[in-house]
Amino acid sequence: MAPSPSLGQFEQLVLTAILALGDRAYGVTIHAKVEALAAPKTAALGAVYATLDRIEDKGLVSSWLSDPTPERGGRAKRHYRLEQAGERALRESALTARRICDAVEQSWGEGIWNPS
Amino acid sequence: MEPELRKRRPPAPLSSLLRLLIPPPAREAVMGDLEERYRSPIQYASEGIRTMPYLIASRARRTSSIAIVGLQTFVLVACLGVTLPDLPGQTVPSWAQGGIPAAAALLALLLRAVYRGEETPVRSGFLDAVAAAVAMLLSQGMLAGLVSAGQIEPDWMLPRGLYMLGFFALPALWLIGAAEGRHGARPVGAPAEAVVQDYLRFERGVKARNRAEMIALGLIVAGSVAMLLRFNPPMAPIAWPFLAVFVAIIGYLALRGWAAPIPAGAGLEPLRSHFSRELARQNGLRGLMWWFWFGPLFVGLVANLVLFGIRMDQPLRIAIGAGALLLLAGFIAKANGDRSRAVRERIAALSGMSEAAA
Repeated sequence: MAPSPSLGQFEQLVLTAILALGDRAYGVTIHAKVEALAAPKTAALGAVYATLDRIEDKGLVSSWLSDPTPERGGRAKRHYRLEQAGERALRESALTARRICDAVEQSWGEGIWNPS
Repeated sequence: MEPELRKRRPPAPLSSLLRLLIPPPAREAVMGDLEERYRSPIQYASEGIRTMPYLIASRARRTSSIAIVGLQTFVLVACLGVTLPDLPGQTVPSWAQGGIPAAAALLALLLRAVYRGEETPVRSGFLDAVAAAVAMLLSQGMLAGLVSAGQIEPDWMLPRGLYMLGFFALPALWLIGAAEGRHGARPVGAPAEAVVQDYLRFERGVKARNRAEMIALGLIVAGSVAMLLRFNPPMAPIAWPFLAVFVAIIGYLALRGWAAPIPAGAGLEPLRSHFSRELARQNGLRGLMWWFWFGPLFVGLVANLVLFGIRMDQPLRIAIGAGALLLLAGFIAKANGDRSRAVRERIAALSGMSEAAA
């Protein structure tokens, strides 16, 4: 099996948002979820689109246009879903993040996660 | 509910403006997203404008190949005299005189890549050349306006002699654009009839591209002959053999450049091997031709940068010339490699299809 592509931090956030949103993952909801995950940092909507294009080119997600909806002026939504390669890459990133968390906790104690 | 929805919709002129600026493939979804997030005209406009650079950069990344942009740059730089040595008494250096129209043309090519819709490679290459020509003329028009207003020196304009050389950039840009093939692989398991249709499309594409290449090369040869006869430049002894090779390429394209028709009554397996063979032959032909097309550019770089640098004892010019030669060779090799990879993928898809059918 080919090794998963390494993910940047923003790519991890976008992939996590798509995973969490499931069938409701499209531009607006993905952006809202990314902002919630990245808080207190904010994320530009355009950066989310550029990242979605990039991870789609890498084969980590796939997209399709839905039917037009009236609240969007009769325009379609571009929905996204994780592909197997995306799930694998996200899992590897999450495992790395967990190892980092464990190491930090070992050095600084469990209190590190409490807001100061 | 309906009046509520109507009240919350963005102003139509603003919406039309954003629609115009958003690259076509992203337009539908992004316009919908922006409308869904609409709170006020200012918020809508500011969010739309802030989103635009990301969309344009992402589209440019998806539609442009570094090798193709590199080759377009080399063609413009060479044909607009950017590398020409400065003449005594010249107040504005050659790199600046040629650099302005070259930069304008490159910007136009970038915008074309971002905003173009579905086009055949031949049409795409032709429109690339037209867009570059318009941008070059516009840049000169703007400079002429500044000169007549007394804001800048007349030397900022491209010298008249270079307009003729600049003409050669247009067929060369057409050649580059027309050679950018699309090699989408057909899904494994498609029926033989679909392969026939696919081959007929490929055959038509090859025919159109060959015609475009012959016209573009014909224009280059005719322009070069006119220039050589009129000015008899010092490089004429090198230029004539190059032109002879170009004429030979036109002859070869006319006689052997077409994709061979499908053998009558061929089944899936002979059809697949015929298709694969033709794909490989056309790819090999293009690979060789690209080195010939850019031959004059190599000669120009050697003459204007390396040899001139040696004669004038300018090590920096020699180093830039050597670097440019390597870069040009790298771009050609990369463009050929990208096309070969796409062709190999397509041949592999055809093989997979015959195995699935078996």
